Amino acid sequence: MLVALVIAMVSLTGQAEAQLRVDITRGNVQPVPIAIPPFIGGAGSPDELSQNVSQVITADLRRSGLFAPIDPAAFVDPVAPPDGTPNFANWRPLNAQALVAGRVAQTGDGRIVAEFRLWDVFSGQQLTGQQFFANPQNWRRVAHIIADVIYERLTGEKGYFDTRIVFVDESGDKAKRVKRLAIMDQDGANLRYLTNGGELVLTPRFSPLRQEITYASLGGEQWQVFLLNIETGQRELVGNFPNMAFSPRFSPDGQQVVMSLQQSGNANIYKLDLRTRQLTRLTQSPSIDTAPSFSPDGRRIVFESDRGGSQQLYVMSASGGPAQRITFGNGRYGTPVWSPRGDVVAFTKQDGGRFSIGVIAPDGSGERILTEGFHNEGPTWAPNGRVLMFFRDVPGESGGPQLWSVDLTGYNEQRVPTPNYASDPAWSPILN
Amino acid sequence: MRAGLALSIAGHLAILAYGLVAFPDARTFKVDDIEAFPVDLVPIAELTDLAAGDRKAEKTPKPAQPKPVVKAEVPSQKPAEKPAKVPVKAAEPPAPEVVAALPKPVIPEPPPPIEVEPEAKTPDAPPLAPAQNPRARPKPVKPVKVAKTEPKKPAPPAATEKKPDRPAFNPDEIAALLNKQDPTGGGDPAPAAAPQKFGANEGNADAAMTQSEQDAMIGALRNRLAQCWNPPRGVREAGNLRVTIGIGLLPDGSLASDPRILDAGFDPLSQIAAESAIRAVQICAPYDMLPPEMYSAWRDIEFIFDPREMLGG
Repeated sequence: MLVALVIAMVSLTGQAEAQLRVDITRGNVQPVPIAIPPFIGGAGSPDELSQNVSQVITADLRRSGLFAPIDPAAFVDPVAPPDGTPNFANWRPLNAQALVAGRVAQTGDGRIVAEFRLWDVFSGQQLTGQQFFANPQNWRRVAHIIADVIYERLTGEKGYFDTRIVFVDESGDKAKRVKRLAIMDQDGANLRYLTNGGELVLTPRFSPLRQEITYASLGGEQWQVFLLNIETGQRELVGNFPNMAFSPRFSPDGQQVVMSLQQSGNANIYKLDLRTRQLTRLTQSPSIDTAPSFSPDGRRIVFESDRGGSQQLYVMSASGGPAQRITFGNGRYGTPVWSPRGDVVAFTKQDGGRFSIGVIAPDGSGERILTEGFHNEGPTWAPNGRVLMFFRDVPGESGGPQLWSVDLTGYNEQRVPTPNYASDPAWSPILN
Repeated sequence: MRAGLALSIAGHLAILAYGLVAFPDARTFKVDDIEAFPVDLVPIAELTDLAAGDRKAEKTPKPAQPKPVVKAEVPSQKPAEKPAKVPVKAAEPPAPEVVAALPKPVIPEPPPPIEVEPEAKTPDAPPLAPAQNPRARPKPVKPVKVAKTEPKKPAPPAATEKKPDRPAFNPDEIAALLNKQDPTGGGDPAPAAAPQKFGANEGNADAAMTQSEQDAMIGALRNRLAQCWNPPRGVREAGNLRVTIGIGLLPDGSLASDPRILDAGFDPLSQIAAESAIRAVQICAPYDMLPPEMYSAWRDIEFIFDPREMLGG
C-alpha cells in the first residue's frame, strides 16, 4: 500500500514536472479525406485530358479503400493550380487532409507534361511535387503513377496502381467456354487479348522482373508451358510435357520456373532453369504435390500436398528436402501464394462445401480468413502485398467466375470489372 | 544452600543443553529489512502549477523582447519553399506494339518557387501583447534575464523601486522574484515571497488541481484525439511508430504555434506517422473543452501517439 502510494507519487511527479502528458492509443481509422480538384490544362482551365487524368487518380485512390476523395461539388475553389500556394482556408472546412493540385499540358514536341503537388491542408506544407513527361496515349499510366506517388507519400507503403492484371477471359456457353488469355490495367482499362481461344489456357503468372508471363496450355495432346512477352507478343515454348503440367510460377529472380508434373497418379514439384532448360525434381513423395510458390527471398517454397492424408500446405527449402506442414485446420488448403512482403502466405481453403481465401504466416501461425463464399479461388497479390485479387464463382446455370479484390485486412471487397467472365487472375509487378 | 545453587546451575545447564539438542535447527527470528520511503503528501497543484507565477512574471519583460510576439504570428504560413521535385523518371510507358520508348531527358523546370510573404511584423504590438498574449512561455530561464535587465533599464522596470511604498500586493512582482529565486539557487530575494505566493489566491488562481481533475482532462483529450487521429494503415511496422508531439495552447484552447515533433523515428514511415499525429492535433484544435481556470495545467501538452494497439503491430 505504502509502496504503491510512493510509486504513484513518483510517477505523478514525473508527469507533472514535464507537462500534461497524454497517451493516445486509439484513433479513428478511416479513409483519408482528400481533395482532388480537376487538373488544369495548358490554357489554365480544366480540359478533357486534364480532367481525365484527375478522374483516374481519384478512382485509383478511392478503390484502394484508404482514401475518401471529396465530392468536387463541395469545393469552394473549383480548381487548384499547381503553381502557387492554395488557399487552405477554403479546403480546411471540407475536412480535406490532403489536396492534390495539378496540371496536364501539351509540350511543343507532341508529348504531354503532367505535374502536381500534394499538400497537407492542415499544416500547409507541400508533401511532394513531381513532373512527368509522356506520350499522350499513355495518359492513364501517368495518372496511375501520380496516384502511386500520392498513395506512397500518405500511407508509407508502395502503391500498386501502375500495374496490370493478366487473367483467363471466359466467354460463350457454360458447357463450351472459350478461354482466352487477356491483360488489362488493374482498374480494368486497356483490355486486350493475348491468345485467340484455340487452346485451353491455365494459370497465367507474371514474371517478377519483366513484362513477361508464363502459363500452361493444352494444345492438342500435350501440355505445354509457355513464356509470353506482353510487349512484343513473342511466345516462347519452355517445354512439352507428356503428362499434365500444372501451375508454373516464376522464382523471384525470374530465372527459374517451379511447377508440378503429373506422373502415374502422383504429382511432384520441379524446378526449371529457364536458361539451361534443366529440370530438377524437388519433391519425391508418392502423393500429389502441386501449386508451388517461392518466398520473396527465393529461399523457400510453399506448396500444397496430400501426403498427410488431406490436402494441406507445406514449406520446404527452395532446393527441396524435408517439408514442414503449416496448416492444421479443418478442410483442404490449396493454391498457396507467398506475399511479396514475405510475411504471409495466401491460400484457398475448402471446408464444408464453401471456399474461402485466407492468409497464414509461413510458420503456420495467425491464420485468418479474408473472404468466404460458394466458390472463391486463386489468390494473387498486389505488388505491395496489401491487396489480394481472386476469382469468385456464383452458383447456377447462368453463373460464371468474376474477379474480385479484398484487402489484407479483410475489408474493402470489390469486384474488378471485366467484359466477360474471368478467372485465374495474376497481378503484375509495378510497371516502371 | 551450596548444594541448592549447584543443583540450580546444573538444572539450568541441563535445560539449556536439552534445548540445544531438542531444537537444533530452530529458525532464527528474522526481521526483514523494510526500506524506508520518505512520503510527502503534496497537493498536486504544487507540481502542476509551478509555472503559474512565471507566466505573469514575463509580462513585464515583454516590451523589451518583441520576439515571442512575432513568433505567435508566423505559424500561419510557411509553405511551399520547396519547388516541386522534378524526377527524371519520364513516364514513357511501353506501348504494346512497340518496344518501350526510352525515357526522354527532362528539362527540369520546377514550378516557380512560391514566395513566402513575410508577415507584417509589428514591433509596436508589444505594449498590448504582454497583457493579452498568453503565449508567453513560462520557462524559468527567461525570467532570469528579466531580473538581470531590470537594473539596467531604468525606464519601465522602475516600478520595482516604487514597490516598497505601495501597500497593495503586486502578484507580478512576486512572480518575478520567485523566478529569480529558482535559478540562483535561493539567494537573498524577498523572503516574503513564499508565504505570499501560497497564501494569495490571485497570483495562483488555477492552482488547485486534483488527480481526478487531471484524469478528467486527460480523458477528454484522449476522447477528442480519438476522433481526429487517423494513423497510417497497413504499414507493417505499425507497432514501432510511436511519436511524441508537443503543443502549446492559448487560453481559448487554440494552438499557440505549430505542433512540434518531440520524439519520432527517422525513417520515412515514422515521418508519415508523425505527420498523421500532427494533423490530428491540428484538426482537433481548439481544445475548448479544457477548463479555463486550469489553463496553467494544460498550456503545454505532450501527446504520445502509439498505434500499436489499434493496428496490432
